[in-house]
Amino acid sequence: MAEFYQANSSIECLKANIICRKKTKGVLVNNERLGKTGKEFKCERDASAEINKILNSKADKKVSNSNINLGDILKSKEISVFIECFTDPKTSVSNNSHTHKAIFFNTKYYTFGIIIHSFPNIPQIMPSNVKEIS
Amino acid sequence: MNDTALKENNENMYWINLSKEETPNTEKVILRVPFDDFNTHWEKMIIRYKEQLYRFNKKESFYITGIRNLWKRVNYLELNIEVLEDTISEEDMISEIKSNPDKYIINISGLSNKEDFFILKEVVENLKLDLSSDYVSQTFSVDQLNLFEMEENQSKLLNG
Repeated sequence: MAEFYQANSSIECLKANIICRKKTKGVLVNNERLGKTGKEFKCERDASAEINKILNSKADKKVSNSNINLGDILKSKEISVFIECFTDPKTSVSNNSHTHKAIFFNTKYYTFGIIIHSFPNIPQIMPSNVKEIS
Repeated sequence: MNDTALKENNENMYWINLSKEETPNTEKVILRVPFDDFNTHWEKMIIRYKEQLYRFNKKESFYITGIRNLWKRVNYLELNIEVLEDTISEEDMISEIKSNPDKYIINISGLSNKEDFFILKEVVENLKLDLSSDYVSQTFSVDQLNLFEMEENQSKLLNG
């Protein structure tokens, strides 16, 4: 269980809780690396994605750097989410902070989330470790 | 181009006539190539020409995939609007997508080499739009993680 803020951090799970203030409609994609067909969309403005149900086995992990433990959270400005289904997840709007409301939704299929844009101050506080391509 | 090399050999140099008519008054000497490097010069020229041809073809393929993927995106949004207007149900939408995957589903795969990454960067810069990495990956059928890796490697090369 850990929190991740840096760009290129990712999670993989079977169910996830996602909170954001803006969600795009997204497109249908057939991702060669994940080996799955589904919907890819973007969650913007103070977005977070938390693992609710882990993968059946570690062998199901498709991306080597992604986090798969229960309770792992991605928090950032923009998160790209891939769900292995063709329809939109059902969303609800309620209070997230004292001043702002947010969109809440749960995914019920395989989910892959990756941070596209981190919070603007994160690169100054935590400079990223450059990883070499294997 | 008339590529007949003249027989004149002055200071170990080949004098190449590029003019069409071999008359004494025309400008005979346009290109001067060192005698020893004559073959290597042409080899370099051919390699450069091949690289330019590859770049041109790759750019064209990026533009074509971009238009195709935008067409797919519009098709999917139209289907979604029909569901919102209650003209079709969600089940109908799923069956329509499964029956015509080429009309709605965008295939995403990784870039084969570093050159393609730089060509794609040039194409995106030419568009002069504020595009995020996910939009670029969905429009040009490029894996987002692959883009991140390429960028990291490039920054590593620049920063040392």
